[in-house]
Amino acid sequence: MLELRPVSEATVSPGVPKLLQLGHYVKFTSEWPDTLPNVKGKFFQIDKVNQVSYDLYYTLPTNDFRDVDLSNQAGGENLYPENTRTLYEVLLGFKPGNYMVSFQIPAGEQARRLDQAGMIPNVTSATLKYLGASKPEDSPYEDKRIFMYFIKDLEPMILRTFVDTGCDYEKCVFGLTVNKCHLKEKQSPTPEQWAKAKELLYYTELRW
Amino acid sequence: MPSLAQTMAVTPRVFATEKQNAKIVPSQIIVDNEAGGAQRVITIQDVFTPAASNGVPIPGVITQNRLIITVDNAGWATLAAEALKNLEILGQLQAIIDVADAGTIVTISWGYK
Repeated sequence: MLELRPVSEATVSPGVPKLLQLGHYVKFTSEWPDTLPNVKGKFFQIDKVNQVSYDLYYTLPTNDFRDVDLSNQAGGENLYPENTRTLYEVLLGFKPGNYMVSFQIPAGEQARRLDQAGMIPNVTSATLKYLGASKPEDSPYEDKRIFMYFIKDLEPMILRTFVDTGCDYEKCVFGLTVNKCHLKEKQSPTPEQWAKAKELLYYTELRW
Repeated sequence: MPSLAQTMAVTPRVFATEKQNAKIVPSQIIVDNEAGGAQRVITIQDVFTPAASNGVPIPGVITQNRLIITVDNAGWATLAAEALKNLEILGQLQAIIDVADAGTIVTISWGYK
């Protein structure tokens, strides 16, 4: 549901498509909550796709932050599906700048943290502001490496966007590619289809 | 790459309005003061409205001076890409002059990143 795909150390031929494609399989783990019964533990084949690009930008003062809500809530950026049979695979990249982004889902719950108590991202701390934060070079605008997966009624994904010290203001530009995938449920996948399917974890599975 | 030459008969002079998903990066600035009335001071400004942030929930328009160039009477100043490589304009690119002067011409070329 939130992935950072690092640069490959080897190439394969033929190449592997970066985005989910027509005919690909996806499976949702049983950790998805009962409040999302349309996907919990289910297996799907993608029968329609459409890629939509979009840019977001925020000019922010130094040593300050903004919480960018990607959901369809009031004040959000409306990047969640409205149809229960739609999966959004969202690629996120950043234009260069003196800023970083940490991920919360839902608001206030950090997606990336360490085991030790207190080792969670904190923009008010001189050191913890760097913990778990993605910098523009981690996912360049032209080579997006952050993947997020959204379905209707998923809890809001918040991007805490923080401008580091060392400048007066910074323009934070996010490049997005929304790969709209229409899902068709498949009741009895073969073992081969099951093995090939993209597994989509619920966010609680990220915080182990 | 866009370029624009304007006299400084009025001030400020807008060279490029904000491009929302990019910064403006000047690649060359030429100040021609050969026909100017006196030594002139040109200031390159960046005008933008920040987004609401945690510290400033209702921001206003910000005007930041990014570069100040003093040009002698009857003189020239040329700044090329190497000298400007770290100059970034977040919003609108404009120039002002200390005293409006139709004899002073400012030429700016720019790109986006």
